[in-house]
Parts: sequence; C-alpha cells; structure tokens
Amino acid sequence: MTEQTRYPGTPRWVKWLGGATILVAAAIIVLHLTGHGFGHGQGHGMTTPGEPQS
Amino acid sequence: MTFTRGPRNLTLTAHIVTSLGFLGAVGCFLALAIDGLAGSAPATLRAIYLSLDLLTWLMIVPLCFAAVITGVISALGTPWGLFRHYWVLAKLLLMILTTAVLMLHTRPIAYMAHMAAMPGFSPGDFVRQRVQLVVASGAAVVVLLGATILSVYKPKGMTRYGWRKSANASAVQDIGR
Repeated sequence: MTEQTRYPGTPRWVKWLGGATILVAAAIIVLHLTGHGFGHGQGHGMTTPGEPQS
Repeated sequence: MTFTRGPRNLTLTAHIVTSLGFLGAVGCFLALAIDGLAGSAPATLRAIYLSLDLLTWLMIVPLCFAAVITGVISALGTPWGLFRHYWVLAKLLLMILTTAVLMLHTRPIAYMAHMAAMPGFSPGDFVRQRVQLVVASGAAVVVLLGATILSVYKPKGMTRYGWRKSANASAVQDIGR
C-alpha cells in the first residue's frame, strides 16, 4: 500500500463532534436515570391525556 | 446509483425546503414556549400550549420525517453517498437523534395541551414541564443549526468505507485506461 492510498484517519472535527454528542447524551441519560431529568412530572402526577387523574 | 440532474435537483430542493421549514417550525415553537414560560395569564397560556400541540403534529413532526427521508434519498442519489463522508454521516446521526428526542417530547407537549384545556388550569403547577419545553426546543434549534452549517460548509473527511470505495473506483479507472 503506497502513501497515497493509505487511509488518512478520522478528522479532528469528527472526534470533537462525536465526543460532545456522547457527553451530552450520557448527561441526559444519567439525569433521567437519577430522576433529575425533565419528563418525570414529579409532584404533578404526569399522566397520558385522557387518563384519569388520581 | 446516482440521479440525473432533474431528480437530483428535485430531491435537493425538497430536502432544503423541509429541513429549513423544520428549523423554522422549531424556532416558532421555542418562541411560543419562552412566551409560555414568561407569561402568567391563564387564557394566554392556554392558547399557547394548545398551539404548541398543533404546531408539533401539523408542522414539526411531518417536516422532521420529510427532512430525514428526503436527505437519505438525496444522499443515496448523489456521489456524496450516505456513509462515505463524515459530514453526511454526522448529519444523519444528528437527525436520527433529533427525531428520537422529538418523538419522546410529544408526550409532555400533549400533556401540557391537555392540562391547558382543563377548566381549572393553573399555570404555576406546571413550571417543570414549561421549562422542559423551552430547553428541549432550544437544544433542537442548536442541533438543527449545526446540521445546516454542516450542509453548507461540508467539512472534509472521508469515512474508511468511503475511502475504500473511492480507491476501488480509481483502480477501476486505471485498469480501463
């Protein structure tokens, strides 16, 4: 394999973007798993529309 | 398979219109969600949250899926391909992530619209959900702006698959000479 046909590797911007995306996704997952994320409706008994409120 | 000029321009136009329409619709959502968070008059908030639900189902969800579908068709029909260049792959992954998060957020949006339609709607009880709508739509605007920037600047960089394909095509051309 000559120098011209060798794969030059992943560009730096892809590594930065991928790293940032993984960090944000991990933060969202951890927040949701620990109950600090949005969408839990703590204290408000979030129910599906039409579902009777307790 | 690559498209000829006519279908290529048609799918590209459809992709640009749906993508930017999606960004605009999410921007409108963000503006209304901010107004919903800042406001306090129940009648105004009722109108805002009912509008957000309509905006979601009539504009945002259809435009989101249309943008993804036209983007995939456009990529597959041009030499860019879907997995050959990092900017195309990054856009695809960002759009898949956005679609998944959007579909997850249709529930709190429907919930707020449902509660806003109730006679005894008290906005103060739903601060958490109101903040959620602002944060989620703000994040979506940032991601969609990122996808737009990728489309315009097309940063260099081929995937290993794209590099192999390109090398194979060059080898075939060399043999043909």
